[in-house]
Amino acid sequence: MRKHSLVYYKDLVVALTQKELKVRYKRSFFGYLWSIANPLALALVFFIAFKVFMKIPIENYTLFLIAGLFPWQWFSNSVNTSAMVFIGNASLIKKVNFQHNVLIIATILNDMLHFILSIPVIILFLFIYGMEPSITWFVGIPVLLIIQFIMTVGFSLAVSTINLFFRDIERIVFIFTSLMFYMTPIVYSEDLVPPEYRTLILSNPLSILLISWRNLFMHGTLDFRNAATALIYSVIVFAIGYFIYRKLKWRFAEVL
Amino acid sequence: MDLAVTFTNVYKEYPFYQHVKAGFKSFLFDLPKSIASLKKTRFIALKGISFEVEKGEIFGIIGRNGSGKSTILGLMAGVMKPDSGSVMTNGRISSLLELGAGFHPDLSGVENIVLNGILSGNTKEEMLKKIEEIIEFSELGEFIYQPLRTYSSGMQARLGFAVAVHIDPEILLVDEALAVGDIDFKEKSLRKMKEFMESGVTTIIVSHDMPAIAELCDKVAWIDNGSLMEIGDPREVIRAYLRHLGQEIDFDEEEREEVTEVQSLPEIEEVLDDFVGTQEPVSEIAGFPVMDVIAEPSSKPVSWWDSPLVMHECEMLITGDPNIHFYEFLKRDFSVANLRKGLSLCRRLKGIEDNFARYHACESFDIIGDETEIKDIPAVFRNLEKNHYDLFLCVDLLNHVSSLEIFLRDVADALKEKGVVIALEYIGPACFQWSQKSVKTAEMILRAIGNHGSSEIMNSGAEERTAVNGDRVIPTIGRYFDINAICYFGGPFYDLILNRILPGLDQSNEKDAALIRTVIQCEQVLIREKILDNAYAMIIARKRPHRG
Repeated sequence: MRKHSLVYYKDLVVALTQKELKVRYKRSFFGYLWSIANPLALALVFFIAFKVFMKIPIENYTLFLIAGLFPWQWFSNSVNTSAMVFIGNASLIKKVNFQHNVLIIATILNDMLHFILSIPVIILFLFIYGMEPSITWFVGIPVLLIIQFIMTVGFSLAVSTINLFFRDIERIVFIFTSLMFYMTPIVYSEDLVPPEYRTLILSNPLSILLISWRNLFMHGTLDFRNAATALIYSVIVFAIGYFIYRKLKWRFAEVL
Repeated sequence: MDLAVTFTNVYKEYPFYQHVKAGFKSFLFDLPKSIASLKKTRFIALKGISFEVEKGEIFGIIGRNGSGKSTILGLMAGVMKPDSGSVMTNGRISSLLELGAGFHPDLSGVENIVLNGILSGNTKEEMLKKIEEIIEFSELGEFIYQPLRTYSSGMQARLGFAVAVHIDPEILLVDEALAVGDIDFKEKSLRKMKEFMESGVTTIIVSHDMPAIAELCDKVAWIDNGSLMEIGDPREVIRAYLRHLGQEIDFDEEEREEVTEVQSLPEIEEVLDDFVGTQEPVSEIAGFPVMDVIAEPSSKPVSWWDSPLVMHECEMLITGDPNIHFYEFLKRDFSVANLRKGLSLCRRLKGIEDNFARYHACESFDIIGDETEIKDIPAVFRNLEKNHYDLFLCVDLLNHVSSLEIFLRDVADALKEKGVVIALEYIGPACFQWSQKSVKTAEMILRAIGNHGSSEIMNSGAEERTAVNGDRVIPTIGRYFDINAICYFGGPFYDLILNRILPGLDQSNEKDAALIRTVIQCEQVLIREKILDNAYAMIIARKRPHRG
């Protein structure tokens, strides 16, 4: 049936993503600036707390923070909003037979787009610190984008699906992402972690990914082993999320 | 013979997703019980239904709320799967979406058309080809480039309908959407539907609008309680359905007589006497901070208007005579009868309109019952012709309208000369609170009735519940209409006992039902004695021939 053809699927994803984008900026004056304002404000807070007050021994700390905060923002925004995506589209899901996952994918693509648009800010900070972007970015950025995309889809599908059945998830998710944030080496570097806790921190599926982003942005390096590990993690997360979604998608219209 | 839809012995049941409401915590804490209850307490929506819809047919489905009509549409649309049996559809399906579904208020009309078309299964290219035609059909003119939030609900409805009929569906599913837009557009929609019939588009309509069903459909199926009762010629099936509804009322009255015995317990009188002596004057309670009632949690177990039992009991209370039901009373005392067209705005409880039709008080209704629309009430009327309706019916609504004056003026405009307004509203001080004393009295009544042990009474304490300007409704109505009568019939006390003190009563359980009836009776006494100032009231008003 044509309904499930690839062209149709693409159109659907593009249309929904465009919608999200338009809706987000339609009535706001500063538009794009808002999506950078939040991570930048966070970076400022962490800079004052950790660098100025606590004298954390990390070079170029602002850049260090931003290189981790921007990709993190993409992940946490997507996962947090996804909790409400199916619920918010209840009337549609109850009446129209379409691939519900496009709603999630559109949300994530939209946040991804914002992340990509925030890369110039990172470049700006590189120049401020007397560094410059590397040629490896052309390979590294697409690779890491894909890995993070897969992982975010996995988390988001699970969260949004389960939230239909247990509405508490939307609160839990918020706590979960906040905890995750501190479990991931974003405001600190992995070698500051005492060795006995290091495995714990690195077993967090997002840690290796975010370390890879930071190394790519700051040093222009992409460690193949790290990327492969992150990919394996993200495929596992995706498989779990997709399994949950597949298992329950026929119940959506019943529970809404 | 070509078939568009084939249902073969379709069986569908849902678990009661109670844990969805109770939340994760109680689900986990009571895990074995929760899982058992998921398996056991299932709601059987369809009990083995078989029927066929031929290609090009206009097929109507009627039945009471909760009878399984929407489940059938859901199965046809493919958003659900049957538990057993098979559902086969042949052709591209499109659902006429309710207002708001798939539309976004911040996008323009054009953008919404494309988005909606794609969601309904078209590619972008196909939609761009059709867009001119859709814009023309919708008659929205320059508005089509404005964001949707600037549209009135009538305009939104036009857009929705225009999209649905232009994406070349082979099977169109219509759920309660006939009553949209102004008359011109409605006629146009009906014409378009007839065009469909000729062009061979199969249409399946679920509606309570019996005249429209009778006029449009080739074949009608009546579903009751998950079973197919009758199928065939529209007029015959509708007649059978209405006859069946009438019989059920007789049955209810028999049941009522048994219950009278329970009420005549002497203890109740004593308790009431006690209550008369100790009740604080309500004026002391007024003056609490005003809160928005809509903001209250919606998970109330039993709400006043959601209970069919209460509806029937109240009919009796209003008329004061168990042998004369509410509609006879309306006809006799207020010559409310044989009205042709009603407009109903209800926040909940669809189906009260059915009763009007059943008792020949009003032939048909346009129903606006969507929460989102209600919030936007003045806009609802923007597109209604002047002097169009005979009856305006609203339940638990006026308290929530922020600009009541404007709203009532619009109502007056939409009504014919001498048109009737029937409103069921909370009436009383702007705010009220259950005092410890009223909780105590409630408990005493319960003990006097005696069929609920004290262990079941959980004291919820004095809980505050406020209404928005509850006391402004009657004077404001009086400004625009002649008020014929105001009948009080309780409510908050019932709420207190059943929702705060004894949650989870089961209407279908005989004992519980008797308790509910008794509570309503007590309330009636309290109102008669002028003790209960916080009450629900039915207001019957008429449009003035010459409005100032």
